[in-house]
Amino acid sequence: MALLEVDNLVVQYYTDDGVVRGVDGISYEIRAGETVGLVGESGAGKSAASRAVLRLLDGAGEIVGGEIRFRGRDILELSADDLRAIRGDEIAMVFQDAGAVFNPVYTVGEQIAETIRTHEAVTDSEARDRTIALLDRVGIPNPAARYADYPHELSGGMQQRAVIAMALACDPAVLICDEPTTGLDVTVQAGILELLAELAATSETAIQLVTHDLGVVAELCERVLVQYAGEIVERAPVDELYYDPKHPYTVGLLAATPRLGDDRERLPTIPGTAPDLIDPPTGCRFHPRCPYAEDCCASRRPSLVDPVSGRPDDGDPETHVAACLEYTGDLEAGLDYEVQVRDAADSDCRERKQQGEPR
Amino acid sequence: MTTDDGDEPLVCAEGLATHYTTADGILDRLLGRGETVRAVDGVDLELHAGETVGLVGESGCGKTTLGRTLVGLLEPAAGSVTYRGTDLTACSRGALRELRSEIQYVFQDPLSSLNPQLTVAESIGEALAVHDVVPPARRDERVRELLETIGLQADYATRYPHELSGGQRQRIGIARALAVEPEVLICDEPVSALDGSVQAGILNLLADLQDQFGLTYLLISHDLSVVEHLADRVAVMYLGRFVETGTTAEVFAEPSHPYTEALLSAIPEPDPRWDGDRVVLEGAAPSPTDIPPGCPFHTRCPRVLPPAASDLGDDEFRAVMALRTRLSGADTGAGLAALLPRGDDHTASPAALRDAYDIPRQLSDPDADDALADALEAAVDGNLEAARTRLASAFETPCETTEPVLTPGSASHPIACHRFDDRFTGDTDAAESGTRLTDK
Repeated sequence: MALLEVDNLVVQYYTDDGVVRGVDGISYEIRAGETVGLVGESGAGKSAASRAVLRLLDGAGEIVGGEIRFRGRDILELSADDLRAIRGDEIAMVFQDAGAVFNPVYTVGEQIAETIRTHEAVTDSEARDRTIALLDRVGIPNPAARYADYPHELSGGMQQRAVIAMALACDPAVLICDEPTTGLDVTVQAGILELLAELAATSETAIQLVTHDLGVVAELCERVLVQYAGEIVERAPVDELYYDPKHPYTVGLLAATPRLGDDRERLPTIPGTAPDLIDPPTGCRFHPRCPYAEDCCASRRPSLVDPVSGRPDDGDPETHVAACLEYTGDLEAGLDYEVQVRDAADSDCRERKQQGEPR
Repeated sequence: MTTDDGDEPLVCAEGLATHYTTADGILDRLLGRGETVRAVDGVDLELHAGETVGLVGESGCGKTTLGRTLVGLLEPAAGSVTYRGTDLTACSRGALRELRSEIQYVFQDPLSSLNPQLTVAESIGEALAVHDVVPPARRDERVRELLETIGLQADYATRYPHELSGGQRQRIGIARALAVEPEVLICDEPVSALDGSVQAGILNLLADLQDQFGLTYLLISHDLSVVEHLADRVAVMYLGRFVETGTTAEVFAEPSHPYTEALLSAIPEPDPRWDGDRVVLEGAAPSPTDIPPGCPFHTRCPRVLPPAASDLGDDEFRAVMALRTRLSGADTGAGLAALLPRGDDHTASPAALRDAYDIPRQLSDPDADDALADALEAAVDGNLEAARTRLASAFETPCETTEPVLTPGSASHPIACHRFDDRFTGDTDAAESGTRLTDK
């Protein structure tokens, strides 16, 4: 049994324009100690899916279906007290905007100590000592002095470190990081990523990393889920996703990323924009933007299948699965793209052709 | 940054400096409270017709201030900006307004730079009206043409900014800047708020527009992969100054300024098997109210030079420098706890301090070792001030005493770093001792 299992989760938002299905039937699992990336563009429902795990959706959002099981218990069935006992203690969250996490009128240290006191029977001074140790663990220099700082006295990178310290306060089994480095300078981001990588390597904490940045995922994650328009369209171990992407959306995302040292004149783009989830496209949700779309894509909804055998997802999280009709043999012309891997050492290109006849 | 290819630059900034004051209100100003923020501090920059110059650096380094000073949105404290020989700083308001149709600015956040009460056509039409680019009767037609140019259908003209996606808004921001048919576009982080697939579209659009209209760009960005993709020349900025300039290929290849190396290596590589070394800079950039003496980067530099007279190895010296930096950051009252990582047992001893900073038990230079031993004793006794002065006098690096200059003019790839100056490096060849960080 995996640590955290999300099964067919559906989240709806009620807006003036209609009902938005931000998350539409996603399933995944996270095992103890592993790092899983959830990537996608804004509006794909990544944050909604992550917040739903702790039932932290704001007023307009509601979980309307599915199950979220943590150590076998359905989080959606928990009482408010039981849920509070899990939040911050067993499952903790690192939010995107560190500046908005802390209450500006209390010191950073006090707010972290509060988390510890809430979940564990400790004295004030024990909580304080543990807080200082945590601040030190996340790489904040001079932690004893920083304990008494107010949030605005810390720089953006230090604030994000303090947020991570707070999330780690009770040694959670799962850490959900929602865009932990977005909005930070690359130099500061490098430090935060190093910290998260060290956490992943040295502790038993499982990390669910939500981001739009494929570079960050490549750095930290063991497995990746690609989310598009509320659905998971591809799931793979990190190496396979980057070296052998199977879904046309993943291919488009990878190709659109500018990289140091590439000499492409133009970046390939994904035409169009992310669909409106009030009235999502029929069939495959990516078909209006997909260069390989055929008539059947507008009417048939693909499910996650093994790209080689075409068999449905067997549930093993290590299996590479993608939701594209190509792999169930429905596309006539097939997909046509190639993956170029630049060898870091001698800039050679290894090329691999995707199966299917060229169009 | 300048080039010596002879032709007259379109925009030329010389010794440009822009300062802010932190004084808040008239009382502060009268009492002389408040400090001067030297956001841009002596910068030379030339933009030649049809080229793209990238401006990179961390947030707070003065990139945006420089961009805004170049278009005359901010008043420089010193230096001059000329456009085709006309000095912008000496222009009257009216003349400046005329010139604004030549130099335009694309703002970072299109949502806050587009008036939410105006439709797309009104926003773009306003620019046309103010500068009287086309007669009123032809304005609607021109707006439609512009929308087509930036890749949107003409029916977007009646929409409001909130009805558009982020990428579409950024396109409108570009269309508005193009409306007055400028020569120069200053693009301030044009894609940093956009998703990957949308970002690629905007970058392609900028490249197309340059081909079509022969535009000149100053591309301000913290993202080096974006800059590398578009720019012909690059200027790397740190605390209001350029630390390295040159063609994109020169700046992105070795050798380069340690700051450029750190910026380059910090970009997460979208390749799970990439295992290059990453330089993680210690601490945040110093405040521009209090720029460190000498090389402004020396407080974070992973390649600080040992004094020319000492026999210390680079690693030994940098370990001592790390201790010095931590000491100077510690409150005097904080005591030894500020220096040691928590979790260690609290038996403070000079040896424990050496271990904590990876300083060898015996430095290779005996004089230096004596000085270090003195300083550590003082620190263990809780006298941080004494330790600080002792270390400062014994381990003074040329990087903190002498300001490196960005050799102007002749060199096409100047780097403001003593490692590339024979006077400070002695025998060691800086270019060779610098191991390459990003082999790609």
